[in-house]
Amino acid sequence: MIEVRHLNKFFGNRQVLFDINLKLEPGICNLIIGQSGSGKTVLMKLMVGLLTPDSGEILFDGRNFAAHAGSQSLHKTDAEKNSEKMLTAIRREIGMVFQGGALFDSMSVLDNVIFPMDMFTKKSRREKLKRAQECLERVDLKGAGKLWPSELSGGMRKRVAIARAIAVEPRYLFCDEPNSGLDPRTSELIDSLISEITKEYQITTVVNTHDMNSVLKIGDTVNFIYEGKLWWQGNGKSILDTDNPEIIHFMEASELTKRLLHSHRIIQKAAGN
Amino acid sequence: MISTIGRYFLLMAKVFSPPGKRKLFWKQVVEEIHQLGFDSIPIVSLVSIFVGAAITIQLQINMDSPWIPIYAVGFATRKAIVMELAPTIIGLILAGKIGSHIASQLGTMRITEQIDAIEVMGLNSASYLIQPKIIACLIFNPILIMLSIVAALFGGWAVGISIGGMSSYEFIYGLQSFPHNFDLVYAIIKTIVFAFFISSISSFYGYSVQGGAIEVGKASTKAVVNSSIAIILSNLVLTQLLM
Repeated sequence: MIEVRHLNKFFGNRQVLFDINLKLEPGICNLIIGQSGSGKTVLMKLMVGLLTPDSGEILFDGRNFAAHAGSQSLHKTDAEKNSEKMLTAIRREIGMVFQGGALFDSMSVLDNVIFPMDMFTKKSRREKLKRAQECLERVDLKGAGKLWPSELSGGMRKRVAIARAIAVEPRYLFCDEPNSGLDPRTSELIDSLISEITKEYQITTVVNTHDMNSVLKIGDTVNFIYEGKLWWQGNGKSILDTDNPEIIHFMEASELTKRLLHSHRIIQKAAGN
Repeated sequence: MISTIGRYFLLMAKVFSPPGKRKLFWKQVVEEIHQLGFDSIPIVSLVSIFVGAAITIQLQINMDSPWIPIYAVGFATRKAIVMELAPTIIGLILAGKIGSHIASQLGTMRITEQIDAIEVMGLNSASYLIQPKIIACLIFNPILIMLSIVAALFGGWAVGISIGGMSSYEFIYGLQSFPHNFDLVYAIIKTIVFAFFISSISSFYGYSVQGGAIEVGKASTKAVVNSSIAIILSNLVLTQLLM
């Protein structure tokens, strides 16, 4: 479980996150939604340690690294050194799927998947190859090992990124806008894959998205961020019942969701009568 | 300016923390030698041959006097090439070729989140990506400079005997006159210092890119310009210190 407590982040004088408190449970898809610029990417970067919070705590199964990690000082205090050690240890349990896939251009697909195993496991080359093939099969890319990232479509890149993320059997999986730039069919495949993997490995999955299809399909818990504040918490089903104007405004930006909401209200009204 | 220098030193402190797996580290160094070193051989050879030839022609014209023996042209060519032209001119050529390669590669990795991906995996991305590049340049640039010296002397010899009106024996006699082993050591010391500046400064600009493709282009330009300035300034300091 990942727990975020009283998290605040400033860029210069501008505060971008205000007192965020979250509990992200294992075995389910925890979604963070919000419009562009709302602070959800900053929140994810704070959680994986790419940014340092100005105040607050991030606990990975009770382990807090955020307090002193990320110091640029040459002479680090003991607290800073311990935080960095903790951060490194936690990061080795993290798999992350970046928005563009972030595959290494200089490596083949297979080597991309093997890379984290090369770094953190003592497996033999044969074992690593076997595991990489398993992961590629899991994401339906059995024969793609010899291809290069430049030869892949957007959806394939995301699937390779998922295969790389699960290669070392992480405890925490972070996905930053996993279906941005994908067609609806491929988006649905990626969503299903993330949801299945989460349940299969019982990992804590955090998905950053503004895609309402994902919210409705895999949103076991949904956290809506608006202007840096946690505005609403619920799930993919209860979000249709909300009367929060900001979420309704956010959902109605999609024509399909707008119609869905309209139909849902008519059904609710009829059921009420 | 001061803040940039400060950030450069902080990055270098991060770069020279222990690398990850030793075996993978040396594999990366070999790959970098291939990319940064071997691929530079054609341009280094070509430039050196023509610079050596031009120097010989200049010296022949300016040393055309009954008081100066003709073999002195060979001696002066060697001295000019070994002491200054090979390390400095080729250093500047490499600043352009290697510097822009490193800066654009790291810059692209930064904007496509590949560096973030390495960090999130719990690796020190600066050490993992930059240290092999610096080590590769420190190992291979002196070899390139040796090659450059040979190519430039060959260019000088070819021009000297073909259009310069001197015999092959006179030119080679001049090359072998007044041997001074420290000349070569001096050239290698300068090359190692230049190699460090080229690789580290270019890495710094590439690694620090923020934004998009335009910033990668700007970083690449800054890498080449600032590496060249560092080479010119350190050349002056080293000449004063070592001679």
